[in-house]
Amino acid sequence: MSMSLIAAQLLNGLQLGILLFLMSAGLTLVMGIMNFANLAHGSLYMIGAYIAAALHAMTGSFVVSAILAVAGTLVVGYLLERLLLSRLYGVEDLYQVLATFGLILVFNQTVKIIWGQAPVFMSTPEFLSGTVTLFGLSYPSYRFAIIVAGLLVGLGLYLAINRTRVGMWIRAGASDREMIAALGVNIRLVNTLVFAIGAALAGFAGVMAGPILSIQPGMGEPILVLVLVVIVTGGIGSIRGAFYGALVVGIVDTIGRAFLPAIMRALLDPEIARGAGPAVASILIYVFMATVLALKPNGLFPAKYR
Amino acid sequence: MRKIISTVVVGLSLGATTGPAATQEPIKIGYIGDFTGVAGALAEDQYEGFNLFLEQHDGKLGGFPVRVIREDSQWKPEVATQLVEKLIEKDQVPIITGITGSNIMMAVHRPITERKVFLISSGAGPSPVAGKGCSPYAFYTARQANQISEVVGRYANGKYNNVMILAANYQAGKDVAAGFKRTFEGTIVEENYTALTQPDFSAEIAQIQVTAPDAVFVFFPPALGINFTRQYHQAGLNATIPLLTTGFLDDQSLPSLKDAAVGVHVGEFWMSSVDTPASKALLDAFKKKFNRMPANYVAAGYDSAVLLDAAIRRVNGDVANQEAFRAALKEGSEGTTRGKLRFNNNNFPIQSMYVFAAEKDGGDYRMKTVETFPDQQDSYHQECPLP
Repeated sequence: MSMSLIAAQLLNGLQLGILLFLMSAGLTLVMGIMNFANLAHGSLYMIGAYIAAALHAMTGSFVVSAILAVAGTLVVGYLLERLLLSRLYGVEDLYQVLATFGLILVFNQTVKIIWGQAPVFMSTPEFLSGTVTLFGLSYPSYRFAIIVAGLLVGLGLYLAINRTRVGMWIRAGASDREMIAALGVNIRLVNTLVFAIGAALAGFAGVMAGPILSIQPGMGEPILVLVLVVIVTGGIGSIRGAFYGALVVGIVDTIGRAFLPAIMRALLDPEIARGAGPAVASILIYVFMATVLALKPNGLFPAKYR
Repeated sequence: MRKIISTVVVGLSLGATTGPAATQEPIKIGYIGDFTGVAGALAEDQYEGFNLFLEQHDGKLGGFPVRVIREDSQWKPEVATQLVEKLIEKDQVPIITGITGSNIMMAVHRPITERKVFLISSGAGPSPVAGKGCSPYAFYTARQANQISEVVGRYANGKYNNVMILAANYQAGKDVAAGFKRTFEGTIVEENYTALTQPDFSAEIAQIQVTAPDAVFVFFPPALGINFTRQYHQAGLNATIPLLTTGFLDDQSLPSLKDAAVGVHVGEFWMSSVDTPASKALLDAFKKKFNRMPANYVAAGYDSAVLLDAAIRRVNGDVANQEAFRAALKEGSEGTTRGKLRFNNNNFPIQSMYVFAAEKDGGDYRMKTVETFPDQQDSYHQECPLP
């Protein structure tokens, strides 16, 4: 187990963490400010990936299709919030969960009708299709691009939320929604804005994941589970929590997958370790989440201070 | 009572003509496939292969008209067993064919063969029904599932000393890995199984680079396998550590993988480069009808129709005579996409297995045959009590 491998795996964990952060940033605000459980967030990720793949096949330009796909998911998010979800803000959580679960089915079926059941593929942009040699291992430059793009978006979000008036409303909304409504802030507008931006971020995550993964109906659900872990671990409604939570979950998951099987092989009978290794590695992040919640029930960086 | 009368009437009327051929009703054939669900594309291919032969022969097999009753088992064993009841009790079919998933095969094998209905599988071939659970009434036109990785192990012998295995952590993943290990004589330096829900393999690819084996053998379900191959290529490893695999890379997935697949070696029982007259004819007809390349399940489906055609001709349409029809099937058939189809004692084919590789030819990508292993028998046939 060399240092270079550990470094490479940390980088892999960072890259997964960045994708998770893009997904979590929007959803944590929606859950924090609007008190709304939106399970269809994973579908927006899928839509972003599909739109980008379709445009990429048509135009051949990765940058253009990425920008249009992000804009496309922003519009989808806006319409979704205005036409449907805004009607469900007051109601019980269970109805919200049911409605957004229904949306998952609708979206999955819709992409199946348009693009078919078989996976769609998107090629890596030409200028990022090489590799970089790092710690003696070759690493795809595209994955670096994900890290850089994600960090830039993270920085932009940080500035927008901490340095602008709208950002102040959003922060205030996450802390106490009734109070800022009473102070005369148009909370409805804030809601729509947050939802649409969250959708665009999920779409962006989908675009970035497109060239790595196969794009297929239902691709949003496995990642949604990780995103929910990130949000709960980081603290609902907290962007900072989503950022650190995503990085920690990404790194714990990757490091666990990479090293636990080998460690277990060293400690246990090889036959048992072969079966148990992957199983334990895949529950590691849930163990981590449970530990955090046991010690800090509001997450690592709670948005609400009571 | 009515049934007895009708039997008598039918019997008399048949006796009055010159034999079963002249005024016979179509031979009923039940067809079960997993048309919806994860294996939908495979099932569709398998059926198109079968159907293509029928279309080419005016809906006749062995010169006799047939009626195919097509049912969708939806990748659900409990649905499949109900369909078997329906086909045997209500439709009274003497033959059931198709069968896509191994789980479906395990559910329907006994209910079909116990009633002495013929089961012609053009898809699934799991190990239990090849060994102790074999039946004189079940025949297989694809392959025993472990063979596709056993051939890769044979191919790797002498070429690579240290091989790393990476597979998805589920039954098929373990079976395929076991098949490779059975025939590979070198050292397995590392063995890693990943969760079926994991779509990104960055951690495993870094692990491969550090382990630096002579080659890697991987097995994943189709979508994940394509993910892995693309990511492996993105990491630039194709050039340094050869990738051996089976199951997901074929003429059909090659167009979406392109450069990422070039140089990848894959074990299979059929691809379009297999050089037989039937193979070429199938390729032309299929491309003309669907405007895409056929995958191996198309060939297995097509060959099941070729086999039925030959066997029905041998018994002159009298499939109700079970002993004669069984013997007729057992004889196999000429003219399948793999040449002459011969059956082992467990009714699985004794056939050539191949290792193919994806290559770039100008702007085109194609699968070429790298090595042929003739007369391969599966590893379970000794356990089958049939002679």
